[in-house]
Amino acid sequence: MSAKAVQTRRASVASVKSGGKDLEICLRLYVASWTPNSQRAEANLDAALREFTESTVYRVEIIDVLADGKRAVTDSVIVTPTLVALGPKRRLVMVGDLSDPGKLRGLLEAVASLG
Amino acid sequence: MRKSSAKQRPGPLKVRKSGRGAKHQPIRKKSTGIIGFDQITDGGLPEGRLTAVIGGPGMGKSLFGLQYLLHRLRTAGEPGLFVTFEEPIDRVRSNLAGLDWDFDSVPEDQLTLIDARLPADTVQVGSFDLTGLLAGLSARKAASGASNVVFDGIDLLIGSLNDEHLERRELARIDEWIREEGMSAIVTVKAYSSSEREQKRADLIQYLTDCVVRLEGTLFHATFSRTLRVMKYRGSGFAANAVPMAIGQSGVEVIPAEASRGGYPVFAERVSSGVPRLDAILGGGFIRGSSILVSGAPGTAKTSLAVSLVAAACAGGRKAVFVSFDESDVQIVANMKSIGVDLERHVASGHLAMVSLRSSGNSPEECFLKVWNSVQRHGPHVLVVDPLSAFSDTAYPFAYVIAENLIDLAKSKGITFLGTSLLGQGGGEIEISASHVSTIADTWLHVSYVVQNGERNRALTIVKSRGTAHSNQVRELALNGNGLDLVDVYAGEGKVLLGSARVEKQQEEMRTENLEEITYKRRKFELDHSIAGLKARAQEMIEELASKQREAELEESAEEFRIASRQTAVTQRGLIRRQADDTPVPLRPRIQRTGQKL
Repeated sequence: MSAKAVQTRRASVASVKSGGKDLEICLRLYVASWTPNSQRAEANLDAALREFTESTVYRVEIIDVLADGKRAVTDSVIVTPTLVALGPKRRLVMVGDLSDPGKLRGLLEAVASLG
Repeated sequence: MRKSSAKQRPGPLKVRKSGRGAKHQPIRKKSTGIIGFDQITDGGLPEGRLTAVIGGPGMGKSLFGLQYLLHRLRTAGEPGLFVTFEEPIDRVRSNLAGLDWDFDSVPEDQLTLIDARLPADTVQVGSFDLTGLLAGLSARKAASGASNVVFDGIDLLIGSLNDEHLERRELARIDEWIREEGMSAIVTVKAYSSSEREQKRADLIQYLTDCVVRLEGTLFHATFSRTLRVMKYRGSGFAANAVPMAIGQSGVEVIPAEASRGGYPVFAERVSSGVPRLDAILGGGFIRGSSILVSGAPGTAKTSLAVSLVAAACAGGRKAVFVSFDESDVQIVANMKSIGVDLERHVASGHLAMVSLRSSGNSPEECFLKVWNSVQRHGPHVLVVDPLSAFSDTAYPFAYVIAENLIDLAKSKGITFLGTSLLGQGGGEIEISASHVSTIADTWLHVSYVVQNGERNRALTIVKSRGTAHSNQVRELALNGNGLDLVDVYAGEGKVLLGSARVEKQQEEMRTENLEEITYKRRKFELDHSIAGLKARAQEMIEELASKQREAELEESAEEFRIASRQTAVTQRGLIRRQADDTPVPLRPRIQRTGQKL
């Protein structure tokens, strides 16, 4: 798990918006390794990023709070899974297993938007 | 009133522990520092278990949790974690600023406040669990060695799961976690009895926790009265009744319904009542550490009696606390000057603490705490509550319990307690039933008015006095510029008289007696006088008799002489005339007859 835990996923490098510069979105997913909610969240996020983003670079970090309890303290993680998305204009926090693809996609778009 | 499981009290848990099999670990308890709570649960909260504190908003749930953590830290050196799901940390801190806890001095790593509120703009997508939080708490525990944790307002977070089963799962997760980590935990849960969902959550919590404490409040008139009830305690007996609770300067305080009773220190020492004759009647005064009830209608000098006790104690170098309701201390001090008692002096010397309370707007529990706090600050020998009926005669369900507790606490500390009670002018029987408190008072003095001849006088009766031989006689209570004293009432001719009637009767008796004395003297004088007169007359007559007798003697001797001389003459004449043979003899008897007549 830990090998996969911290990784950068480039969903698509094709089209470049905003003057040829990649738009980078940081995604931090806090999970509790073995719990069903967390495993579902990972899978759901993965699926969403695969089918959705063409123009944006997503840097995804997956943190297992059971392996790194101190990180849970410093980042004030309360529930798992928690997804923190940092875009150019705003920061969004999502909790839950991300089991609603439509809603997840909407939120990711909102983070990526420049307006 | 109690659950059957509690029947084995008060032969407390120790007895049952020994009866248990060695297989099962008897439950161990952690004191909460809330004395009354530890009393009703026989030791506090279960160690290594989950306790739920349920109640509406503002009932003191968070305070209960924080107080527990702070007590554990300060008395047992156990660090704690406080996880707040509702309030930001700075508000938690500011809530505690009004208390005497000195919370700011607590090191952050010893009692850690953890903000577990989700950010306001958090979006929920699907279901989640508390693993993240618990992982963080495990990390903190590893760092600080915390053994107690409070989850404050957990319903807010798990409620957003919007699923009964998921809620249940998360509570079970917490329970599992504390057992794994060896933590003792409190979860506080809001409860609104109205909603079905809340009710289900409350039921659920009952199943999942080992101890359930419910905090409730009721509004009586304009005053809020709080209660605490232990609804469940696995593996332990407990008092299941709702007991009065208050939130004061020191946080949550619980006043157990069941006073300790017995085991009081016993004193032979007497405490002067300040009324010399009353002391004499009571065999030297009140017994130290006893409780005295002074009952009577308004204006029967109940306060004066109470003040006498206080003043006597202070004059003897002892400390006293005088608690008055709805009358300012300044007023009392001024009033008591009129009967020659100078309370100001004792206040200035620090012997006397005057505490003025308002009965309206304060629940009996709050009043109790204020009284008790001043007792703890001042450490008095004598405690007066005037009137005690401010506690016992209100509509509050626990007013009586609180009055009892106050007396009980005073007794346990060897403090002589005097409470006044406003009672009507009914007969003795009514008076007795009117006040439960009288049953736990050791000495009961009743002051009543006796109306006679257009005036009211105060009559004092000792209704009872445990451990003291006392008179059954009604005494008149007299107030004057030098204080109080008792006066024997006039009892005679089948009547009992008080006040001016007594004085009048006594004066009338004195007048009658004077009059009788004068009459006697006069009669005596007159008799003496006439006896003396008679004696004088008798003397006179004796003297007269003597003189008459003397006269008679003289007369007789003169007659004898005359007869003799006449005989001589006759003889001589006979001799001369020789006619002697005639009749010289018959003359003699005739003369003798004449002499007898005299």
